[in-house]
Amino acid sequence: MNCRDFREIIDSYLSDELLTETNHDVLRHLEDCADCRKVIEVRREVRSRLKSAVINAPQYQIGKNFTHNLNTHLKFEALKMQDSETTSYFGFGSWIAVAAGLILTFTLGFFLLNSFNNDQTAVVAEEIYTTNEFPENNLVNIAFGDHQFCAVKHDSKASVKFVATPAKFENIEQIAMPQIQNILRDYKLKEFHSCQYRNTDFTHLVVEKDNKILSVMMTDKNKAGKFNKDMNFSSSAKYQMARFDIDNTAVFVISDLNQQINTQVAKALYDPLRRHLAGEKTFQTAMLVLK
Amino acid sequence: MFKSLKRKKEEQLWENFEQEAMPHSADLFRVAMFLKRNRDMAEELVQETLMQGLKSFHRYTLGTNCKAWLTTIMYNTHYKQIRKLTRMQLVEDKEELIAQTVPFEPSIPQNITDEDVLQAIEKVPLTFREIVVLCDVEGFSYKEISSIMDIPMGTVMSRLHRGRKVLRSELAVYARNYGLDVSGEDDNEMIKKQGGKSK
Repeated sequence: MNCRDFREIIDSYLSDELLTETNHDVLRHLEDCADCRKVIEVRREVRSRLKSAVINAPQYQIGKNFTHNLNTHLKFEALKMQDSETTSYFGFGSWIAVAAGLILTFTLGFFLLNSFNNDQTAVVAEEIYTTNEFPENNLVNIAFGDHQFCAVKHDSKASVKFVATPAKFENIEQIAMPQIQNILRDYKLKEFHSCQYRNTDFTHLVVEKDNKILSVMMTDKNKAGKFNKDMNFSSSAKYQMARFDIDNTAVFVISDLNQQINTQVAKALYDPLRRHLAGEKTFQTAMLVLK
Repeated sequence: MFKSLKRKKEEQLWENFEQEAMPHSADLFRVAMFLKRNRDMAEELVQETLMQGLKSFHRYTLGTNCKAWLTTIMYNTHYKQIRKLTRMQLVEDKEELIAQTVPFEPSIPQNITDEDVLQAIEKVPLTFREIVVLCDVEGFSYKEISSIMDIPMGTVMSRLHRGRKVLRSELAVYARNYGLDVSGEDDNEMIKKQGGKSK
């Protein structure tokens, strides 16, 4: 092997892509040729410098928020896919299931359809966060504050003003109440309004029983105001919060119930609100629950 | 019982995907940045890639090279997007033209910065750059790159060779800018001097 041949295959040697025999030729040449030893070191160095430069460069680093959202989105998709796969299996893979489906369709058509429309088992990935980890802390903080100062209406220092209810949220209490009362039977609608808190508009539905309150708060997450960081979750630790998004609308369910029931209410609301707010379009979302 | 079995299956798919595929998202993002040159578009490509990966995950054999599998999906997705944009217009392959302009191959002094290296790789023509990145940064073998890009292995090797040559040459320019002496370190010149040393 001469130097020219060596320089042609040197990169393949470094990539461990050569046959064993050729590797031996390379090594034999290197033993005798100081110039080629120098060249191979340079090429090794270029590779190593390129790799470390790219891997460490900020512009090539994946964003933390993106990673988090990606994870949530894909998890949700995985759950949805499995749902449809299961449906497909029973629909096409099993003659018994097909026969049963036909019988049900023809004999109980109306009831079946009705039941489907009321299906509240929309698959929602559930992730539990501590207060510090909750995504979009700013908006979450505002919603928490609004729940305390607006729904409870006990604090006269609150700077809450009422605003017109956006068209998309009008009559939404008629959609939400049956779902809530399925779980919290004796809770009554206390008020339904739209208000502005910390420059953020919320449409706010409040149900109450024996001074216990559950808030459903909806807001356009793209229009959230800025929040003063001196106020944080510590003052609201007794509340439970669950959140899901429908397109640009963030929906918060906040209460002093236990986490399980609070989350159950949020899950029950997800599908009916999605249908109401977004038509039949499918949006991927995840249930985010505050620990 | 069916519900719990179903739930178990759901969780299994996600657990496997999370374990096998998700750790590669940072690597995929790096490759996507080289393909798209724009953070938003790169993120979109990564999301689309992982989404496709999730949908096809039943075809993936657990324990095999998931990163190569996902990168192949990424390239397919990227090519589809390009085809959509260019409405299937074929563009002239400038590879040969570029190859003719590849300069001589000096070796590189050590004290150049990461910034210099990044600027140098940016100057390598895209056709060569992406293969250099796949091989030297992401650590794929020639065979894997051939499969990822759907090109013959010989093409991979020749593009890699040319890409690295351009990179070294660009790095030499930075070295000269720092006033470092790179004269007489050109491989070809060295070979000429030695008259093609044989063993």
